[in-house]
Amino acid sequence: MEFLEALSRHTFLQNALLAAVLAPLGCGMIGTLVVVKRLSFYTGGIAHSLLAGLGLAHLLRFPPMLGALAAALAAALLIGYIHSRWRQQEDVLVTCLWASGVALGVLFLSRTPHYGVDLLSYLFGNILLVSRTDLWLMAGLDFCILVLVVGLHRRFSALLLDEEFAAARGLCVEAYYLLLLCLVSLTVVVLVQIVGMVLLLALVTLPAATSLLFARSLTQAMVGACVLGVLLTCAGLALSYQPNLPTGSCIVLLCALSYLGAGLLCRLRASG
Amino acid sequence: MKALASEAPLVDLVGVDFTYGAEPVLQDVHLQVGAGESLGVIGPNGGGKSTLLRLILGLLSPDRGRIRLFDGPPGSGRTLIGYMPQHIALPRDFPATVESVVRSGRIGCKPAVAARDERAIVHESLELAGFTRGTRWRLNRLSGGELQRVLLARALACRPRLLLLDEPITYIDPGGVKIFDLLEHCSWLSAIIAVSHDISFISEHFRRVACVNRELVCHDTSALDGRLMEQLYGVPVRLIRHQH
Repeated sequence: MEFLEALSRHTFLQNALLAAVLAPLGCGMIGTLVVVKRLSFYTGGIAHSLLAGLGLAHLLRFPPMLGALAAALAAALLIGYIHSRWRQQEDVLVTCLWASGVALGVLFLSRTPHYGVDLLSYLFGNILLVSRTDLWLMAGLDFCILVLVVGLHRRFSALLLDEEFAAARGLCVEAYYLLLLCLVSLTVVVLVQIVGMVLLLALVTLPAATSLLFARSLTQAMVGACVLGVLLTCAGLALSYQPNLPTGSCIVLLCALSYLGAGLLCRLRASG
Repeated sequence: MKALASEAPLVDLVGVDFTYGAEPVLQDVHLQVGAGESLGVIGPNGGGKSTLLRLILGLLSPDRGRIRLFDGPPGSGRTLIGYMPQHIALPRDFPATVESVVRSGRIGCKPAVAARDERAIVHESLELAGFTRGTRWRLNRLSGGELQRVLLARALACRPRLLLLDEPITYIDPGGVKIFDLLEHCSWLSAIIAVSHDISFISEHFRRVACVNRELVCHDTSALDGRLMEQLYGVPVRLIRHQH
């Protein structure tokens, strides 16, 4: 309750709460697609390689989020290329991209004065540092994701269910696959502020996976993942505030608990 | 017969070669399928049956030779084909109802129809495929045979001129399949090509059969005998292994 009191007093907390509502929205939609298409490894790759963009932006005094967005999109296109042309070595190549991204980022940041604080907040996120500009960026990216996912819903659904059949119906499967990876990179950029690149994979996949346990359609799963994501992120923020715990960790642990609980419930229901 | 003798064949392959890496899969394949025809394709695993279907669909391009579909290049006629892939590749935990899966078969159909007409087409396709369970069911509730009927309905949902079926009887009871009545029932459908490892199924239901093992040879089904099978599959022992 102390949290609610503080909420009315501090702008930074109001921003954090708004971020806790905005960030899981795009994430719920794209997370569902990621889980169904089993793209979490790629999502991790994209999330980590954006550190290279962040580092370079800091070094060259660009807005860091712009650098992150550029790096994430580049990583998405690269992974798409690897997926279509180098499928045999896919695993190793994406791992290579993942690690090289982090390495480059650390290298760039080490050449930038006062980098230590930034690096930690990028790795683990800090929802309390979200600014008004960040909120507008999140809202804008959410809107892009919403428009594309709703507009192309049937095509994405066909791509996810059966790629070969979709291609046989004349759908340009490779282009939609790339678009999906680009949407993943937008989501990742939104989330990096909240939970950081190390933990964001959990926020992308776990609410969606929980929702998928119960959903009858892709749309239902997306709506469920958004609602659950918002609830868990807000709860994580509220829980962490008073004892001064790391917010990202609280959010991610809540996500994990809710997924495990829901999974157990499903098991019990199936056997009972 | 719906065919007119003067019509160009629906499917026309002339001297087609296809290679995966260094491995030749199909060599010098000639195949014509005309309106009103039903063709069964048999052959050993890895003999090139599914590759042949993918070439016709335009998902693969031949290294040599020419493919024409409905008297045009393969890509242009692709949406007039109803394709039923093998159902093993389908993720069973996918969150979708039977109805929405069948409706996805209408992607690429022109002109688009009103939602209500589309629903009618979906239900008619399910009926044609002999699916009798709930259309609001999720995929994970279906048995293998039911899922295959749903995939057949999805192939029929675009009202295809040509039906391509990959292993249509793996899980459907052969006695219950009415695939070949479809040619009689559906005015829009002109030809069926089905790939199967089950020789007895093909020889019972098809007038013409193509044996594919890198090369393609067409026969009347009445000509299928032990000698021919031995030629196609190599030694008879292997034939037994492929039949179970």
